[in-house]
Amino acid sequence: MTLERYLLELKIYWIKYPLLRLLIPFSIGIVLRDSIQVPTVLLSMVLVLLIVSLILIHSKIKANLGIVPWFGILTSLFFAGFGLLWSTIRNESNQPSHFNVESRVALITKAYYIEEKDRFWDCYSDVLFQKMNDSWNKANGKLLLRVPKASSYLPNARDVIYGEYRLLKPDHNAAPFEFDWANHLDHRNIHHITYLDTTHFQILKKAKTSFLEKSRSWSDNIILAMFGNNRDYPVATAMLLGLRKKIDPELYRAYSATGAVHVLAVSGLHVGILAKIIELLFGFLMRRSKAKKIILPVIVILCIWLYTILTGGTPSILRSALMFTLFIIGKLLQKDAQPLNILAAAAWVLLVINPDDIYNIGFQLSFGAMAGIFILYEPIRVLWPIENKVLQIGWEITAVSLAAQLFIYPIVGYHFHQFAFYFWLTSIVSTPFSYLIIAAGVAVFPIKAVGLTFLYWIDYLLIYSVKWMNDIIEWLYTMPLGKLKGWWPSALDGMILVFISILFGLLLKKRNYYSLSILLYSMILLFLILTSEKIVDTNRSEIIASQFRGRSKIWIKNRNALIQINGDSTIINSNYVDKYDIRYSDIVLLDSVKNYCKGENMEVDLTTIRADSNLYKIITSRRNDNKTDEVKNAQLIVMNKYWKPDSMSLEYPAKIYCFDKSQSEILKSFYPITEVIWIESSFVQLQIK
Amino acid sequence: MKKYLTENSFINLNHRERKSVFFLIALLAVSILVYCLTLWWPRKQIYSVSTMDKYEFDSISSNQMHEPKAIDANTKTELIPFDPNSVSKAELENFGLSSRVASAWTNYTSKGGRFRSADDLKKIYGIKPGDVERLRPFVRLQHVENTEKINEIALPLDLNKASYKSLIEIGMPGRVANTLLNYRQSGKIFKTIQDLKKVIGMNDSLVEILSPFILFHEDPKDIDSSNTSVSSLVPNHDAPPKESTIDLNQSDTTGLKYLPGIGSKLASRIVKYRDNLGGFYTVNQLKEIYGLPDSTFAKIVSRVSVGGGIKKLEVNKTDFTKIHHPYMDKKQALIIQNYIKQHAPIYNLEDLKQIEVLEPSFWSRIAPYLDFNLN
Repeated sequence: MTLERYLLELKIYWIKYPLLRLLIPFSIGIVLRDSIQVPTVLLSMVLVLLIVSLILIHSKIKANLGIVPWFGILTSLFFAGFGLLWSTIRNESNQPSHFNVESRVALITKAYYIEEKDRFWDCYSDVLFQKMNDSWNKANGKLLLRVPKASSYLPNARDVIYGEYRLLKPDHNAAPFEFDWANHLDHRNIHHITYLDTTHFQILKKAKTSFLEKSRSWSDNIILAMFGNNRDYPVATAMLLGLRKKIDPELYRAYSATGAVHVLAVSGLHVGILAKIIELLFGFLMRRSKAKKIILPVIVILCIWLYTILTGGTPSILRSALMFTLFIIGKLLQKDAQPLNILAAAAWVLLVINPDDIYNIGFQLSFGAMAGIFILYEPIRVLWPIENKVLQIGWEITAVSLAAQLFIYPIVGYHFHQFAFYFWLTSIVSTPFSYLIIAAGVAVFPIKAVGLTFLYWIDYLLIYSVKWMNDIIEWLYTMPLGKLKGWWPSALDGMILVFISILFGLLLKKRNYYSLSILLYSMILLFLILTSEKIVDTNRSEIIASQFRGRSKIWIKNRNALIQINGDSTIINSNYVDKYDIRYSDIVLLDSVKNYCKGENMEVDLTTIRADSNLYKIITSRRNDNKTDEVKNAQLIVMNKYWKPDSMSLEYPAKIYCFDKSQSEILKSFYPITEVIWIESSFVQLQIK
Repeated sequence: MKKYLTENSFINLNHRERKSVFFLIALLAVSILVYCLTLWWPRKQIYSVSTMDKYEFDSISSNQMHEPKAIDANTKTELIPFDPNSVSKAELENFGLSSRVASAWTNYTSKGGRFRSADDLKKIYGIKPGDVERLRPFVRLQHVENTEKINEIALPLDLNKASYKSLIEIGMPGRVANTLLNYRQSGKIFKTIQDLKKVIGMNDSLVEILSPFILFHEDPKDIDSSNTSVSSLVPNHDAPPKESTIDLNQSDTTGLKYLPGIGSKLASRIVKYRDNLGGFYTVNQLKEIYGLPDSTFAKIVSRVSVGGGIKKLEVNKTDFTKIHHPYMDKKQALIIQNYIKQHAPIYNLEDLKQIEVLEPSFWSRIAPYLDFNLN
């Protein structure tokens, strides 16, 4: 087989998916919005020009076949530009009808989504009107209104509220490697937050509970009644209703570490399982019917939407249901269509409806898992042809979950920073249980609605499937290598990993020299990228100190892990020091020197840092050394703004880093021979020898 | 190279696909149009926003202070039916009233003033007779409808069985209804109107309003026999109770006035102090009442008692800075509130005693009023 022949074969695969080919530039355009800002008018003019040239090329194409590729190139350019334009237009802060952002605004807002936080109700609200010069003007835009839980007002979705607000921009979290809330809100089209002044606001219209909300709380209550308020209950609501309740943190950690966390975030997988179950059931009932091919998909769609309505239409379930409906309709319209192409069409529709969906974890997991199944399931399944019926079903389920997992583990790694060593094992466990739980859930709601008491034993099926799944996942978590944390793949790493998964599928399908070599080459590429990132890292133990809103944080970045050492309950002790190989860079909290333990063990409770310490000292010495010497021979001091010179008992440290300019001036006069460095940004990385 | 591009390229589109690209572009253009249309579609302001406090408005826009006083005739909108008791300042200005008159109007209603008929509009300071006549046909009094509603649902209500909701429906304030239910739960029975008066927060005028809707069992047999054990309380209206003591937490001013040395002034002080405290837990707390001589206290101490029913502060739920308790000043409240915020939930008094700034004597006084129940 020559190379040309091989490329031709690849092309035959490729041309089957025109919508996928167009989807790629479109999504690139959407993602580019975060980094490129082009004036809308200019961009629209360019797009119109592109359309004109496309028409021109199309009319001339028969005369001159040489311009055929140009059509493809310009089309890709057009859709990339369109993605950029569309996501820019949809970003409401760019719209001319967006409410005027002033220091104080008087607004009428309508909440569309309420989220419960520790101390606040987060009301994601649409702005309806703004008061300008004593008259009410129509305004658009979104606002995150935070209602203190201490207030008497209990917000509901669709409440209309009047209030006068001081607008705040959400902060980009200054600390590196941390969840960037501002960015997250930006992708939900929220650009301003405000706190409700509980003494000055008016409820203009109290929302009546809608049918959907009623059914949501109805089904929630059913699950609650079934499980009681134990740790399985939030897992069940997450899987069946897509409700985000507080899952027991230890259990959640187990799920994310073992790579099963996608089970808890409702995605297309859940609705897919639901569709499969219904298809099996009705397919069996209608096996003699001639109209099966048309009626069955209709029934599946109806059932999916019935389930969506019954469970109260949470956004994640709605999205997945929409995806599946589009998928089924596409398949119905064009029987010989490629599933991947229909999947791309569904993605198109969802992204045109809301471009910011591309950042949504549920969206990525849904499409990732489905694409994985379409691309990899067949090649994996044929690897092991089995005669035995039971074994065959088991192998098929395993193949499905493997195919899905190979596509979503980079996504999970990117969002949850976990590398699940046992993901293959977890998926074999979690997939059948997901089938059981969703099947039982689908059965339970209609049974309870109609009141078929003789079928109530299904409750136990549901209860025990959830319980056993939790237990097994927790057991896997306790196994060695079950807790590989601190994997921080970049978006590029993730994409290359997905690409490698695709190439792996290709290799399984076309077992020849070329497939293998492409796979190997791209693995080498990934290895190079990873090591180039690593080379920068390897030889240093880095201490990163950051300060954000008066709260200071310190990380130790080591060869293979990034550890935040002053979380809420972390205590540095000897285990910790051994585990992360902290040899040359230790942290002493000067105010708590008395807490500093004797002997080898360092036990500095860094929870006190936040409240009352004025100073961190980073010292460079072996931990076996005499402690008093360590304090004296300090070479580096990083301090926060509360520090005052008189509280320091050190003799001339070599370097002092501080965050406050005025403080640095004082320090300079206080320590004439010490190098005082004022750090302008709110975080600093220090390299320790 | 050319051949490679035309035949083996990965970006070429065939004739059918090229056509569908145009179709796709047309679809996308339509979606942009639809989206822009929804953005520009006019929205009608149907909500009425009543005015905020004056200083609030001043602080928002100091540059808008010099707004023209005279209302342009063009800005008058068409009159629509409105309720004078709940109309907002902005709406009134829309009706063509000057902002001075409009704020006088809203001030009147916000301070509890009520319009009972259209003629009452004349009460507004500075309103022109012409304006009253102009507005008169559009006045819709919500209040009148409300009282009709009450008459519709009002049946003689059995206080020994009535639910919270039905109590609210006959017009009892929620707080009083709550106290009443607590009172009932503690085993007391309502037999006469006097029993009703014993409920904290129930005053004479309220009793007068409510009494037509309440059914009293004059015959003690009507009442559930299990409850009759406590039914020997103060049946006689005229004679003060000679033998029994007066429950400080249950009695009203009239009851207290039977005590020697307690006049109406002291009685109302006692009741007020009790309500501020949330109830007495010991008779000795009477000493804290301003103007109650020790000699009087010595006289009455044997004739009073304290029952249950102390209103407690739920430590984990109450915002201490917003309540005024006689045993706690603002600074102490703030300290406690901050401590609770940082250390919630608090399970018992020992937890709170970790606040070293506050003295043990403070805790011993306030302890009976704290409820550490988490539910």
